[in-house]
Order: sequence, then structure tokens, then C-alpha cells
Amino acid sequence: MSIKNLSLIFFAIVFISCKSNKSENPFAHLSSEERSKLADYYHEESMKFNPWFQTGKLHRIYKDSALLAVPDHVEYMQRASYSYKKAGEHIKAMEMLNKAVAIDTTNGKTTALEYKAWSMLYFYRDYESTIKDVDKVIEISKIPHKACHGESCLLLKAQAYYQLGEYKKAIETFDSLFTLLKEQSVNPKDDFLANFYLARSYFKLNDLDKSLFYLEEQLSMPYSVKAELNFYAGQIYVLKNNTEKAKQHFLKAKELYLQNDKMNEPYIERFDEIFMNDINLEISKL
Amino acid sequence: MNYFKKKNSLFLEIKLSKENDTKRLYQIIKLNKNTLSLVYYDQREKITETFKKSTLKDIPKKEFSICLDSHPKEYYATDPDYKYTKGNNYILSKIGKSAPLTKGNGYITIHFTINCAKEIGRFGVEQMDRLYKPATYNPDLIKHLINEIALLKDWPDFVKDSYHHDIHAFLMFKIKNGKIVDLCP
Repeated sequence: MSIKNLSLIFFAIVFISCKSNKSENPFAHLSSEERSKLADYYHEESMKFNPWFQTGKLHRIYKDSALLAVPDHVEYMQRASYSYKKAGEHIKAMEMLNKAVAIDTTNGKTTALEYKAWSMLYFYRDYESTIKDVDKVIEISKIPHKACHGESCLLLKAQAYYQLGEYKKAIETFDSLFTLLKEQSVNPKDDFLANFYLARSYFKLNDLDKSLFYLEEQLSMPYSVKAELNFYAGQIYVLKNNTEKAKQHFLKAKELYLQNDKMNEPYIERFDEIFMNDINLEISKL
Repeated sequence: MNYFKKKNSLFLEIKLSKENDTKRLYQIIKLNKNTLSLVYYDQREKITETFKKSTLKDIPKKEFSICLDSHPKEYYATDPDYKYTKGNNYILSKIGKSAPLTKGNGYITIHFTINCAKEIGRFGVEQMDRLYKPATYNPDLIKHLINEIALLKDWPDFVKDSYHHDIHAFLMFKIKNGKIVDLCP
């Protein structure tokens, strides 16, 4: 073999060994306990930059470092995905979230899937996936009243049916939710969103009286959102040819809107959330 | 914009803020008839930018700039959220009406920055399919979305703080069978 060929082989070996050293996890030499501690430290550091810098480079470096230390940590992976989702970098966000869901569900857990169901509904308006994810959460957890990222999973599923135009299925799902709430000694009327979208489902089915019943019932509840309730009650009175009542409700909706007694969810726009131009348009048509 | 020479190196100083004297310093590493290459540092990263002489006939009449050289505040980090005052349905009906068709199902996300004068610029695009993987859609539709978003005027007032004078936001158009059917988030 010539000296030239020997030199080439030597350089190739050096190159490959350098490359494999680079891709090796820098925390490989640590014990799992040490890696876990290190990941916790990086996670805590990343949280110091919330919420302003959650989409920033430094936050992501800390999050990536935590995941280098504990690559299969579901919570850290899910929370790292927030940085991308909130910045609108959805391909990366969903890649991370799907990976977290896969690890979590393989272990018989549903936390990441619960968050995914919530994101599918509100962030991506992907209604088919919402229903699929909620069903899977309930199937794995065997808890019908399971919460998905702070809201009842069934509430998410019912809204998904509502958005798909499957109003009867939406009503059935709200009814199931109310039955479960009663079993837990919770008053179903206290769930504003469920009652609001129940009223909206009846409206879409042209059952104006039932829709009005639920809207007016919610108007008397202390923690409901009043601008939307008045607005949609006003629309029903327009269809019932009661212009006077319709006007009263639209004007009340306007007054409450200006007092910020309206839907105002962080990150997303709720379904059927109203804006001032919607109210003004209805008033102008009277 | 100023340039100066130091130890045989050429530097370019560009003013970045409309409101104060914030500047960024670039080193010119290549300069000839058709090319300009600059290098600057962002945190720990060395960033090189190369500009070629444009052959475009239409040059934008107005240049967009942010008001403060910092990471713009995200739309959700204001209280309340920085949302279009007329809502998503208004945008959807305005922009969706004459939108060119495309093929497939998924999402087109248009990123942009709104500066302290409520001007819009720094556009970016992300395209993905229903499985949240990279995809491509009709460039005419992308162009339409960017042009229409640039025309949106009814953004709410924004209370500036020491670190943020601009907002980063995005609109995510849901595509079904080649048509825009929804707007998130």
C-alpha cells in the first residue's frame, strides 16, 4: 500500500473518531441522578426568563441542555415545545410534542396527550385530532371526567363537535359532562363555557327557545362572561322579530364589552368571541 | 449609516432604532461590484450576511424598521393579548375572499413584526401539512397573504416598556382542500 493511501486511511480514522466524539452526549459520563439534577438546574434557569424570553435563544439553550441531560423527560420536552409554539414555529413544536406524547402514552400516562388535545382544539383548530386525543386520554386513564390542560377533556371534545357542525353530538357530549359534574356534586351551571356552547349548539339547530334559555340562565350566574351572552341573546331576539329586546341586548353587550366583561383568553381567540365591529354591525342592521 | 476603517478592516454602522441611537456594528469582509458580505455577533454566534446586487425592477418604496433593537415582545406577553381589534373572522373574510387556491391540506403561518408606529414588516412564512410536517403551497397564495396582512390597519395600541417597543405576531391560515377555511390561534 502506498504512503498516499495509508495517509488517506489515517485521516479518515481521525475524522470519523472526531465526528463520533462530537455527537456523543456531553453528559454521558454522569450518573442518572447527576443528570437528573443537572436537568432540573437547566430547567429552573430557563424559567427565570419566562415569559418575555420564552421564545428567545437563551431560554431554548437551557431547555435543550436539560433535554441533553435527560433526553426522554416528557415534561421538559413538552415544556420545551411551548417556546416554539408560542413563537409560531409549529413544525418544531409539534415534532417535540408528538415525541413527548409517544413516550408518555407508552408508559401509560396521558399528561402530554392532554396538553396536545387542548392545543389541537384551540391553537390548531384541528377538531378531528381533538376528538381522537380526548378519546385516547379517557381510554388510557379510564377517567371520564379527566381534565385536559386545565379544562375538562369532554368540554374540548364537545367544542370540537360544535366546530365540525355536529351539533347533536356536541349536545350529547355536554350532557355527559353535566352528568359527571353532578356525580361530583358540582353544579353544571357553574361551567360557563359548556353552557355557552350548549346554547350555541341549540342556536345552530334552530332551537331558539332552548338556546335563549341557556344564555339567560348564564346571564344570572356570577362568573359568566356577559358581553357574548347578551350579543347572542340579541341575535335570537332579532330572529324572533323583537327589535326592542334585541337592541337592549346589543347595547348591553357594547357596554359590557367596554368594561372588558367579554371572552379574553390568553394566546388564542375563543370560538364565537365577539368584537366591537360585530356589535356595531348588528345595531346598524336594526 | 456610517462606515469607518480600523486596523485595515472596514466597518459599517447601521442605526436600528427610530427612537434612539441604537446601532449595530458590522465588519465588511467582502466588497466588490456585485457582492457585499458582512459579519456581526449575536450573543455567542457569529453571523455572516451576504448581499448580491439586485436585478429586481421594483424596489420597496418604504423601508420597514423596528423601533428598538431587541427581541420584539410576543403577542401573548402583553396584557391583554395583542389581538387584531376586529377579530379573526374579519381578517378571514377580508383576506380569504380573493385568495388564490392551492393544493392539499395544512397550515400557512405568516410571521410579522408590528413596530411602535403600527407599521408591519419582517415577514416570515412556515408551511406545514395536516401531520405538522413541512409542506409547500402555491407561492401566489403566500404572496397574497403577506400583501393583505401588510394592509391591516386596526391593531390595538401598545404600551411600550423599557425592553419592548415592537410586537412579534403570527397568523396561521388553515387550508382544507386547497382553500383557506380557518384562522388560528
